[in-house]
Amino acid sequence: MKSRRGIGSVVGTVFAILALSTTVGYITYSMNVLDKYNQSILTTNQNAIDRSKEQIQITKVTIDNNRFNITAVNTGNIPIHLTRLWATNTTDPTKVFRYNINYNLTTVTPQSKIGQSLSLIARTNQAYDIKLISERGNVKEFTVNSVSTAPLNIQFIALPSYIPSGFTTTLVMLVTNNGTGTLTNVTPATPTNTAGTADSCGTPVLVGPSNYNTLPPGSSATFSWNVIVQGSITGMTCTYRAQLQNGYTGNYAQTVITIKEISFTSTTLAQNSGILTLNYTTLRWSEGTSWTAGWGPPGSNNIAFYVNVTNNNQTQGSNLYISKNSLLYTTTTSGGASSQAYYIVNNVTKTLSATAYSCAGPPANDYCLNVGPGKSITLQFYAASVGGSTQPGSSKLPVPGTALALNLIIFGKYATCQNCVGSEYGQLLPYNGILTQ
Amino acid sequence: MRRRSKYARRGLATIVTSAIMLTAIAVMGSGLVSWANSNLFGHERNLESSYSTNVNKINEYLAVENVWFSISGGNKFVNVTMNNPSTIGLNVTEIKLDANGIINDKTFTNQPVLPKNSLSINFTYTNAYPSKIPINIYITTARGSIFTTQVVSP
Repeated sequence: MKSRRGIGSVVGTVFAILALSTTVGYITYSMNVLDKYNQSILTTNQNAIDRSKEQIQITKVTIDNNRFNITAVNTGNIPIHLTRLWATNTTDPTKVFRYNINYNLTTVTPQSKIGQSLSLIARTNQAYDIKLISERGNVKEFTVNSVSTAPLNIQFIALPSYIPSGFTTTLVMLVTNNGTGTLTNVTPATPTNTAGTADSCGTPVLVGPSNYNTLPPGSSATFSWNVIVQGSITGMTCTYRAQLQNGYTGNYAQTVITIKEISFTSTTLAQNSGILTLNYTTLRWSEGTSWTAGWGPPGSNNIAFYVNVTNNNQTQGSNLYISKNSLLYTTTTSGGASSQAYYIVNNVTKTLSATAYSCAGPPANDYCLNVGPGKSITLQFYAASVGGSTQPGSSKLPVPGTALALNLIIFGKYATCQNCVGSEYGQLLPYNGILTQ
Repeated sequence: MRRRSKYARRGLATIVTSAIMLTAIAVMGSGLVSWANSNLFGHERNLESSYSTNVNKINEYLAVENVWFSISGGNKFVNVTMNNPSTIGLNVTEIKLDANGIINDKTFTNQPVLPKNSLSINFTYTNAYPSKIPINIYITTARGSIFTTQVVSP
């Protein structure tokens, strides 16, 4: 009986071992599967974390040798491997370019010259959308725009904006890239005069720079021009408009330059300098051929002059009526008999054909010309005598090599009409000179 | 005449009974063990399948590199370039473009993207989008993962 009881125990033990081993095997397998699952989860999470840690910053984009030169910085804390570059020409969206690249961005050194080795030709007058793809699948997208893509912040100012007539002011154009992409080929058009009341609104002359190849977001480009504005009355204006070449339609800025003459008070220079001023640079002479500027007419010839004079009295109605006695006379440096008088005429041509100073009047042939407040007038001098129109041989210039002072004596009256009673006024206007050749 | 021993009969019955019991236990035990093994193996297979499916789904990743629109032969088309940076391959089964209810949907049967490789898919679409509006793009894989991105219409 004892041996039979042993067989039952053996059988039971065998079954128990089978059951236990099966259970333990299953549990072990389950644990292994669970462990692998956890490992997968951890790996996936780590990849996601690494992906989120990638930080690429584009610090500079230029176009060198007709190719992009992109500088990228890894601002994160893990290395980045750039594997692909996409460039979409947004000016012509059918042009999409894809390039395999191989740049390792460390957290230490910026990577420049990305794009220099590619066959992609970067055109400064076109816009691009560029993407850098990392090996982990991140995309860094940025744009390189032309100025025609979107309106820019343009400021245009005159420094100073109030100037005396004939002075130079500086026009300054400030272009700020208020977009998110780098701008290319920022080139200004020469400012144009769009409106104004001044006598002359000059053409701006570029001081510099002529263009910016690229302009990063948030940066500004400054361009400047010099311009001369002339006007006889305070308050005259010139309006200039500035815009970029090939810029966004309607994207421009304007500025106004205003003439503001320097005024002298009664206690200063005005008391001594008189109210008329001679516009020295307008002096011209002719000896029968052409009206010529400069100080060197040939000697021993008959001669005619014209010059501009400005009435600086701004008082309304203060017209200066010019007397027939007004003249331009020359004196040599030695003085004496070499002085010659050239009286005012209505008109004299470059061939020395003159019309006497004449008008209907009253008074007849006197106070014929007048110049209004703040206005200028061109006066012509040729006659050898008051009211004349001719010039004898004795009025010829001295021999070559003679220095002559030109003095203008204006006689007139401030009045409201030719025949009205007014304040007589006479003024000597010196400071022009010639040297016969 | 020799009398038969009562112990001899009792021994035979015990042996027979024991044999029957052992046989019964063996049969029942074997069946139980077989059933248990079969059941556990079934669970293991299920676990294996579930593990593979879930882990693969978790591991698959698709990055949309670029999306661009154009017109060819009078037909509007879109090009979607995807990159698979993960360690397992995947199969793109559907790409859907949706911008405020303007939907263009395209299904595919075999568009595999190998690990560390990219895939460009061109397809025409009919429902036009107004200019410069955001378009949501949904890319569905064979495992049921959906990857999304957003682009601006041309």
